[in-house]
Amino acid sequence: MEKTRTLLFIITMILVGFGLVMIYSTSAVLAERNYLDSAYFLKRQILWVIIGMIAFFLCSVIKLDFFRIMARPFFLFTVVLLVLVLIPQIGREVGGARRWLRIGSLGFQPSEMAKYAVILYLADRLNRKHSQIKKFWQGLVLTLVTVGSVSILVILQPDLGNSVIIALISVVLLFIAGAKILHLVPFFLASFPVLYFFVFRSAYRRRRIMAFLDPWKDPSGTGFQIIQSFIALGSGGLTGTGLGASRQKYFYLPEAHTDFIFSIIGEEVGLIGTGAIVLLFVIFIILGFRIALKTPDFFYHLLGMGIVCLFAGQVIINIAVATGCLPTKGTPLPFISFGGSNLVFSLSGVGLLMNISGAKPKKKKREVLFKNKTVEQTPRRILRT
Amino acid sequence: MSGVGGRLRSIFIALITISAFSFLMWRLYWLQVEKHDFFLGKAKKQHHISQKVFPHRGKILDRNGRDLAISVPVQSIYGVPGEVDDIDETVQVLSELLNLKPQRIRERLLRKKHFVWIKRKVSEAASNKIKELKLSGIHLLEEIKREYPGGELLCHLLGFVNIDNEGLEGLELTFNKQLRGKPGWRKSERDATGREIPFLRIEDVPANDGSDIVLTIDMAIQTIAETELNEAVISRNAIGGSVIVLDPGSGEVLAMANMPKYNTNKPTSVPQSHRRNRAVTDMFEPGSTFKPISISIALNENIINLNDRFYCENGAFRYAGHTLHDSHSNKVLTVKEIIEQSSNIGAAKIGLKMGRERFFAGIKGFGCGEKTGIQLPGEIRGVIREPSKWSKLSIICLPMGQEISVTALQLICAYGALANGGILYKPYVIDKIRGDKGNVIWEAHPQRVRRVISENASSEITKAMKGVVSLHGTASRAIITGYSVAGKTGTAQKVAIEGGYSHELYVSSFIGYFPADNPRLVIAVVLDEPKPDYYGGVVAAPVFKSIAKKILHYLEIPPDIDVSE
Repeated sequence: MEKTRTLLFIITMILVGFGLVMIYSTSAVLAERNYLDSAYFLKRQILWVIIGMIAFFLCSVIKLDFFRIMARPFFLFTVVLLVLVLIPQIGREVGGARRWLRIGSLGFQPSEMAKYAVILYLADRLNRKHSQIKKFWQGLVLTLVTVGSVSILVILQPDLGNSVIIALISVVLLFIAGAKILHLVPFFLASFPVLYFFVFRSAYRRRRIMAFLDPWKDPSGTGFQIIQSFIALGSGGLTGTGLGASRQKYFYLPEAHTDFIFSIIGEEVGLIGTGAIVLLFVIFIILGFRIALKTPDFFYHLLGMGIVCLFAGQVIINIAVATGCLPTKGTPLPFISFGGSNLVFSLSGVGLLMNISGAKPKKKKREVLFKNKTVEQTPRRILRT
Repeated sequence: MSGVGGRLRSIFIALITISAFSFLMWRLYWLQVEKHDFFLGKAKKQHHISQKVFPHRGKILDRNGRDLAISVPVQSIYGVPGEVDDIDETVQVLSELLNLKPQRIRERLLRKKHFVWIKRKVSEAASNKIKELKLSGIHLLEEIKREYPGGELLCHLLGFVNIDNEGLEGLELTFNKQLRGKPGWRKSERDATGREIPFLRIEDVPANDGSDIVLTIDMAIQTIAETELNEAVISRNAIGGSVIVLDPGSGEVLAMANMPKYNTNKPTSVPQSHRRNRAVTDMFEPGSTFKPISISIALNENIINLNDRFYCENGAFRYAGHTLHDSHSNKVLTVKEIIEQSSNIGAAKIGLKMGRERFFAGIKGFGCGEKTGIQLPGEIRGVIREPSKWSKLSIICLPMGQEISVTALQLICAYGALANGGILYKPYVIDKIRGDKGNVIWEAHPQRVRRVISENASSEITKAMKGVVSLHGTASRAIITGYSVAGKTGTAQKVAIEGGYSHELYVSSFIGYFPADNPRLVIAVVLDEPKPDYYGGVVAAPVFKSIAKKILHYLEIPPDIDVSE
């Protein structure tokens, strides 16, 4: 387990380090133009890395039971922040969306926090009410209504990307916790009209969908961003144009240092670079799954799976958007994209994973969890297979 | 059971996740390797720019190095329609500053293009204001503007250029290739806003600036000629006129002035007729100014002597059913007197004595009916008919300058030959062409066309023409104290529109050279339709005199006659 932890930590640091390099590469031109300081974004991100490392350290050493106790208050606190951010006098509006709370000069996104709050809350609730999960009303519906309200608060910002991720993670955790698949089907079906309503209600999302379906129809308008992303990735080829030698970052590709940083990586270091990033994330996620699967405690297991799935979901959505496999929506690439909230919570998530990997089995809990098993078969062996 | 089930479900989730990553890897491979060439092409297309680097158009200078046509950098205003934020405000501000119609600007800014001109080559005040305002989507671009510091001075020779600095008229047209230079180009890359990324410049071929052209024109003399001509055309109610100052020893043109004229900086503000270089594009019947040429041919052929006497029929000579008149009736005149008095009958009789073939060969020799070859656009050949097409009257009309049309330049070149001892030179206005580093690429040398008359005939005709500019000649108003002047007046009836000669419209001229026996300059003055006075001796000779006097002063030519005698 020690090896897993070390490897997880090293991969995280490689990704964060590479992210800093790429943030400088992608943002220098923009920063020089807007702030006359090419390192403007780099400096801010370094500050966030420091804050993130503190959060990482705290999350990896604080006893996990503390998180379990804090799950419900934390969830409530998050709901309060999500409501606050919607109030015009408090939430900062950027580009038509009210997503940021101001703390000093730094912006903070409650929706980033909401993802962890939901995971923590669900892990605790599903662990405690484990027996009720198979009951449709008390187990499933009640749980879904609780987390669904968070998802709706996030969608009101509007931040469709994060609300979809919250809904997805919730379903995944319910599934893992043992919800009947038959029970999940109505929700699955019900999600379509809801999604349809939210997508086609707003003109800009509808345009994004259209652009996704046929970006070349309006290459200088709605299809612009995805085509510019294609051009960045495609012109990079196998080996790339060289680190720092991106052309697309000269204002061709919007959000080059945030949501579309992966495309510039593809342009500068080619398939070798993008492949390496994907590989690092795959190893990271496999290590995460290992930790989650090996933990003796069901709460830890759910928490670990939730965090790992969150990482996996964000990475997959980000890369899928950059490669035109999903319609454009603002989802950062964990550890790499510029942005403080996401980085701090991602590093906290890694901290929690490391914490989980070091968790000692608790006799009492395990008995409850595996009470149907025969005594001869030690639970550990089952887990190791 | 649920625990194990949970873990199986977790493994199931893990597998889905891993397969999603596999799919993305395949997608990346497809985009980055399979479609690499396609997207690389797209990338190059949008990143690469190829810019023309405009050369500085060469200057035109006078013989003393005075700037006549120069190139100055100016700002042009263009728009990038996609970048304009507030179109209403932009249109309003620009229309006020640039004095343009708002609809015109709006229409341009609504075009689906990345580049539209708003206004080219604007004033410095306007461009500075626009630069200050920093309107989004409105940019400035430096261009080269042609400027003529002299304004109207030498306008017909210089000509002008269009907005793209291509010569349209005058020397700007003839020497467009030399003046223009060779454009360079710059291959580079640009950012999404269209600006060049300087350190990504791929190729930078500088422009070869155009050559400078140094004229034989002396602006001091040109200014004198233009001022005097201008005054004469106005005071004599003429519709136009030309003055040429030529060095008879080489064919160098020192001045060439025309009326009406125009400001070369605003060539389109006048009708096209103002832009003609009449000295080379317009022909006229020279009338009496042609007589010395005719008579010099007879002198050259030794058919006559200056002292030969001709019976002048008391002023009315009946020939081939027509009667030819002189303005003063004379019984007998010597050849010298025929020139001094400008006797038509005398000239006609000399013509009859020469015969058509010898006479025709002679005037052809002087270059009549041929372009002089001066490097100015629009030069015409004039009209002279073959002897086979002559009427019976032609042989008496031609010697006195009828039935023949010449340009002022042809005429002054012929006079150059009379003055310099009999050699016809090709006239020229370009002294040298200098490369962009000041090196001389090409230099003019006087070009002899041919000997047209003997030195003896030349000095004889000069002697006769000196008599014209004397108290008993027709051009007493051209006498310059202290200087010997040879010259001849001309008063030619214009051909009327309805046919025949007009009795109201005349072309009055005077051509003279000085000092008569060692001539430095020939000056031709031609006035078109002066009213009411129209005699060359009255109208044109004084213009010659005032120009000549000023030039003599300017060039510090010493007097050749001792006035005290």
